[in-house]
Amino acid sequence: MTLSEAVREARKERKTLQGQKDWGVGLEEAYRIQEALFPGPLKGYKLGLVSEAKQRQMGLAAPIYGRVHPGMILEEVRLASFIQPRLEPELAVVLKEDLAPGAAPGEAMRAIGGFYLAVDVLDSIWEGYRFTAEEVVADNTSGGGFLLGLRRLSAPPEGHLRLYLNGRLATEGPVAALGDPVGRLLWLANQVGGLKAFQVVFLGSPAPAVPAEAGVLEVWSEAGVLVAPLWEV
Amino acid sequence: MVEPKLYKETVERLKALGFPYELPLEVTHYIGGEFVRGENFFPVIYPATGEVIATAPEGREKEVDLAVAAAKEAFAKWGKMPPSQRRPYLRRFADKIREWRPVFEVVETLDVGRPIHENRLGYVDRMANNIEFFADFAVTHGSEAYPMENGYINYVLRFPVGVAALITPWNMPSMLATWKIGPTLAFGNTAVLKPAEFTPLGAWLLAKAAHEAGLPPGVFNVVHGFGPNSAGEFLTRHPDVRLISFTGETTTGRIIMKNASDTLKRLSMELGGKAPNLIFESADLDRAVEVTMRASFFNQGEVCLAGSRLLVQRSIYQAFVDKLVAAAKALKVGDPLDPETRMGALIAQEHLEKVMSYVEIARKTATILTGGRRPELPHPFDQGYFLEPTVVVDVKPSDKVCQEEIFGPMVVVMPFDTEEEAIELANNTPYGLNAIVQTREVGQAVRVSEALEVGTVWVNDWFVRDLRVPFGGAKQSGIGREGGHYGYEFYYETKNVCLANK
Repeated sequence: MTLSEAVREARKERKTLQGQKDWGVGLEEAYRIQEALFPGPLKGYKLGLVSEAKQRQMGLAAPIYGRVHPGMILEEVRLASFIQPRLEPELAVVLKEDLAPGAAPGEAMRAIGGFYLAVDVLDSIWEGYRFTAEEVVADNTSGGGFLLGLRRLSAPPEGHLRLYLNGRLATEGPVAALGDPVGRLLWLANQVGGLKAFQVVFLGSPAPAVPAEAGVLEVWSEAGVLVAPLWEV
Repeated sequence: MVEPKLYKETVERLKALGFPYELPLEVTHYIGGEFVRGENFFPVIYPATGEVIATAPEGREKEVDLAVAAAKEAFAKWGKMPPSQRRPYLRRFADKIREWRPVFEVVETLDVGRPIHENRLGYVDRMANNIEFFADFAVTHGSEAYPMENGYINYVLRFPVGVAALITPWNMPSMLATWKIGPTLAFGNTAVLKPAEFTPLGAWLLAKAAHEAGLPPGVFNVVHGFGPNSAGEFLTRHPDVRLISFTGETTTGRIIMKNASDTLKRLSMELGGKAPNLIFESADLDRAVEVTMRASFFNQGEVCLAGSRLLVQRSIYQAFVDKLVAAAKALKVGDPLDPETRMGALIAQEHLEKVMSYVEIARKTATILTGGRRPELPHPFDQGYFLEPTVVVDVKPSDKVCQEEIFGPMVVVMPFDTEEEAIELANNTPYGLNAIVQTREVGQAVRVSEALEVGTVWVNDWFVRDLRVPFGGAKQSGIGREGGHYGYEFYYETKNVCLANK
């Protein structure tokens, strides 16, 4: 079975696979598999493995990215529709202008329409989230669903993003760990042949992912809060 | 008025949690199964920011008459139902409360200014359980029989009384409302709830829950308003109200008793407190500090049961006070909706001023070890009614701050030498609601618990509630007991049937 077939079948059957195998596929090929398996109109992109420590661990020198389709932006989360959901507090950028490959930093700054608190509801087919870079890329970087905050922020908030499940602090990390958003957008625009106005880019998580559980989800930052219910079914 | 930015965010939070109603809130009465718009609106203020977050109508004679009439009409059917037929209605009510748990958690914080963290420590479960427990209790409990030796047998029958006025305070509004609603309805009475004017939101949401749960119209009604010359007074004077369950200040309790005496209403009164918290040298010091922190500063100390008079045995006095002050200094005061916050805002400007007046007395006559100031908080919380947790020492037992209920985050600490002295100090107030005894010596716990003139003693803990056990105050802290069958005297009419068997 090829990597492409394995991912397709696991997604279809909603089952997990043993990862960390050598499928004889490079990173570029993994992105082609991602594009073929997750086609359709794009609402935007997500960045993964944004910390250098994680990148080194995976043998990478840059983040990875995945595709975000309109149906992946959620109003509420129903956990039963995920295979093995995990949560990460994130920041997202909504673009107000196109951003061509090779654009200058000033253009990227002008293209930023605003920042929003966000939650990445990860969903990997790879058992226990143990995978190689190629495996996670082919699986659309564990793309599950996303929640977006309601309040536009003109700049990334200071301090930490804190994610609470039913009032218990589940994970947190410093916003600074996300790196420079402008640099990220320029990098991504180069990778994907340009970004479009009104697309949303999830900038990755500064905190370790945590398993989801039903109840109230909150993400707190110095600049506001995102709240959503997580339903069992 | 503060720009209502935070309110907008909170509205967004509520909507995100599935809050089923339109905002901003215009609180309505709930009379005879209908939400009645009312008149004479007054503002509802979020204590943490001073923002107006809703408006509520003041009920006058008209609304009270309508609500009591609706309750009386509903009583004709509800009171005749066997408990097992009432139970499914009440269970649905309890389920609805649980279903709206996240919304109740936020709304309770908006009402009171309490940290949402405290609402998540089982508060909503306790609300639902208050109703469910009594629904089951009414079904499962029998009554007594007294066979006589000379050919007679007595047996006891119990009947519901009629329309109950439930008058609840602002400190634990939803908890105390359900505490009364549960036995009132389960034992077959019908109710008109008059919540405190500072906290109408929780009562309004309870009415929504009751309505969605399909409670028959008129069984449960809510009329908003104030006390004197307002909904509270009209209810307590109303000839068709047969029982009044009141929780609140002792002074208000006296007025209600006077109002109720013309029509001989039944009264259950849970009034003020000035609970002693006795810490003996054998106590586990760290645990004693933890229990004391909760008993002192839970809900900003706005709890009738607060252990606000600390009596500490001299041999451990300094060590205990040092630890307590350190813990009080570390308590995070601020945005009550932030899950990390451990103390929120006092209920209202006028209440903050009242508490501050005790702080000022302490500043002159005693020593403030920590607190006594308003914390510096970022906007919009700089507009809220916050006060740092405050620990006062060098007081005399007769001092005003040791005798009167402060109802805020301020405790006084006094040393004692012997057990006898501790008991004497503990009993030395007009109040007798409850006490805390912290010791690892069993005999001492037994002796001291017996000697305290109070309705409830907690040994090595605080605020633990079993709905089967009697709850109420001694001395000036109340009249009557509620909980389990102890509430029968109040909620039921009792009849003895004496039968000749030959």
